[in-house]
Amino acid sequence: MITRIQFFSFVAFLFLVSPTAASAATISLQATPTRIGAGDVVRVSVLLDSAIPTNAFSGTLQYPAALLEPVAINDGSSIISLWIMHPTVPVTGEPIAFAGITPGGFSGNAGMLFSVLFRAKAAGTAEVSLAGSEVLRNDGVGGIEPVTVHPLALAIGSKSSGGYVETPDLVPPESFTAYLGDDPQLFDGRKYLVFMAVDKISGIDHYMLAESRVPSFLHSFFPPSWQRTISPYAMADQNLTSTVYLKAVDRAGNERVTIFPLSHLVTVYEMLSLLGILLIVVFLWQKGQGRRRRKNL
Amino acid sequence: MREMSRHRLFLLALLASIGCSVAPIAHADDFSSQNYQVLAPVITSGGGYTSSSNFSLLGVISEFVHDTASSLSFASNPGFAAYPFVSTPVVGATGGNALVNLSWTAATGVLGYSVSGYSVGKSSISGGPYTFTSVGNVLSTSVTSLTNGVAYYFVVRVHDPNSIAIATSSQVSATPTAPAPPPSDSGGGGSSGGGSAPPPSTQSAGVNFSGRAYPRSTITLLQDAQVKASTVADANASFQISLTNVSAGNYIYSVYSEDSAGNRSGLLSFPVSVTAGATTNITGIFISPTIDVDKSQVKQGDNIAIFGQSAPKSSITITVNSDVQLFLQAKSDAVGAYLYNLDTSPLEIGSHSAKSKAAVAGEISDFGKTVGFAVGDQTILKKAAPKCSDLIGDLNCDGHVNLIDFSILAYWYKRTLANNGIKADLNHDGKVSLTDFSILAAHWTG
Repeated sequence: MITRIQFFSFVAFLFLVSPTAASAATISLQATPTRIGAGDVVRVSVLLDSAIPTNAFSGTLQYPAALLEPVAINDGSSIISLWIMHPTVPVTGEPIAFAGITPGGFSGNAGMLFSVLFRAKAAGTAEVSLAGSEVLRNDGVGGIEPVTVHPLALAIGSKSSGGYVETPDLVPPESFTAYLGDDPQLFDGRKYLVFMAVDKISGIDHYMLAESRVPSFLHSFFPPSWQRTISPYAMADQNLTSTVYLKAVDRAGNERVTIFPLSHLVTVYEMLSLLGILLIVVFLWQKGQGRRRRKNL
Repeated sequence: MREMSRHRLFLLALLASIGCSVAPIAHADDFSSQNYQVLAPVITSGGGYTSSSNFSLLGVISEFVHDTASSLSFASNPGFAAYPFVSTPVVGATGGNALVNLSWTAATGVLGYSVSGYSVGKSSISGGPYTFTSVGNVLSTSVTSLTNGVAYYFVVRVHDPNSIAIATSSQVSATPTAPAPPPSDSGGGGSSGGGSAPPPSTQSAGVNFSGRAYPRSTITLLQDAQVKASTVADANASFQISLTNVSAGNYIYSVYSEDSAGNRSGLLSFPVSVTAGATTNITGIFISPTIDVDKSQVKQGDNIAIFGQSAPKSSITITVNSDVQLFLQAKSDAVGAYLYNLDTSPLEIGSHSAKSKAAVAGEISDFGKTVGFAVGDQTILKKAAPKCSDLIGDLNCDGHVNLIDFSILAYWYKRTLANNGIKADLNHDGKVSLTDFSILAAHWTG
């Protein structure tokens, strides 16, 4: 009987001293697969649970560089629509920083922020965690939502056990739109294009861009000159007389091209030049006509 | 024998008198007549809704004097319209192989209602009856052991901590479908033995959206923050949008509408997981009402008009955030317009704000945008503000909050603000930080 009372007292004590669950977002790190060996690739996903709509997220993913080497970032199924700071594969083992927003907000379970493909370098236990994480509410004032982070302790065996295998991405990025902007402070007031494409499987790798005044049916003779670019892009042709071809390329190499049409066929200068030439031609023709008339007389 | 019948008669008379003396319980929503008013309402609480260990409310809430409660964890809201409510979830359903995947938005409880779980009702007949299964406090589930090719109908119920159903979503349907047989020539792709992503599919899918906005209003649908489609609601404010050729994957879809006065609603967002080759149905979208006021400042004691648009014949609850929170009731007319003339006598001098939500046919919207006004010693009519200053986050003044504004904000991120960059500091704290991006995201129009 005393044992039972002691037991219930202990349970009641545990209940009282345990922190009460407040409304908070949770960021957890999940490994796929959970059992890996040295040399294997593992996918570590950064997942968000939020009971209330949240719309801005930032943080830094920390990992032991002696045990894990980041090889790729996948934002294919991310709930983040716009990246302020896109997570990138670091060159010398630095932490992976990220910041982004979800217009309208996200509430739900296991919303993917992004995932990192790591190659296990050696056997041991790799502690992967998130530092400085910030989650803001979709309340119109950027209210702070408390965050609980569940880090990951990844056991790496000495022998390979297969690891994570990326399945081939056969689908091109989603269709996307480019927007023209101009702002006195950006690019010294020059016109620029902003764009953002989404690829649901492997994620966007990079963008290519070409400006051309040559009509598309002549591209086989005069192919446009593609160059790698990022958004926003300050347009080379500020007169908007060129068609801009924009290509989103995913990590598997699939491409989606969008076209930003030209606004004017010719520039004002070209128009004046053409008018001048036309006037000269008319003048010369009139002069010729007059000479002919005088001859006939 | 005669005594027996006398006793019976007495018993019947007693029962009849008891029946006559018991007043029926009236709900706040029941009062719609313009010919009478209720001056001394009594709300039966039902009991068991308090969570405080030193305060319990089990009986009847009658009229009480404001500020008489001294408990720090107990708030009292005077006013007949101050009753708890919960928004109804937007539900999505996708058919799979002998299963249906369901997901829904979180229901938001106000004034004492807290949501502690959900249950899913299933039926093979449209309209039910449904068989309910509790799924816990989650926002998605899979209903399994279904027959492929048969249409199933689902509703999601919201439960409070006492397991009482406090809201029910509108019905959504989906049909489980057997997967297409694999191509006969597929022979590659050996097993890796490790984890891998689900096999990719080039099969596209479809997503159907349906809900309520405002009569004849334009509804804009965003997919991952970019405008994907728009449509016009019918005279009853109902709308439907269908997307085809959508790639499989996880998306954030958002909708907003614009009322006849050009005021925009807030953005209503919901995550959707699209499955290759399947159609996802999203139902129960209820765009919250627009709201505006006719005065930027009102002389204390004068009236201020609070108005906006919602679905026709909706019950509109307006909350005014002041020292004492006010709850006001209005009814939208046949074109969805509502108006409440608020006597500002009880409001203190200073800044106030108001927001509204709508309820119709068992569906309840979330609260919409907030409009601000001041109570002072003189009345200042609200001028038609230039669109740029009216729309928070519209940094280039084009009437939209979109990628261009995002790029301007991103340029000033963590930079020293100067000249034109000061406008990018949306919360006026002297820098552009994640908070400014959050404000931009909350006002996004695409």
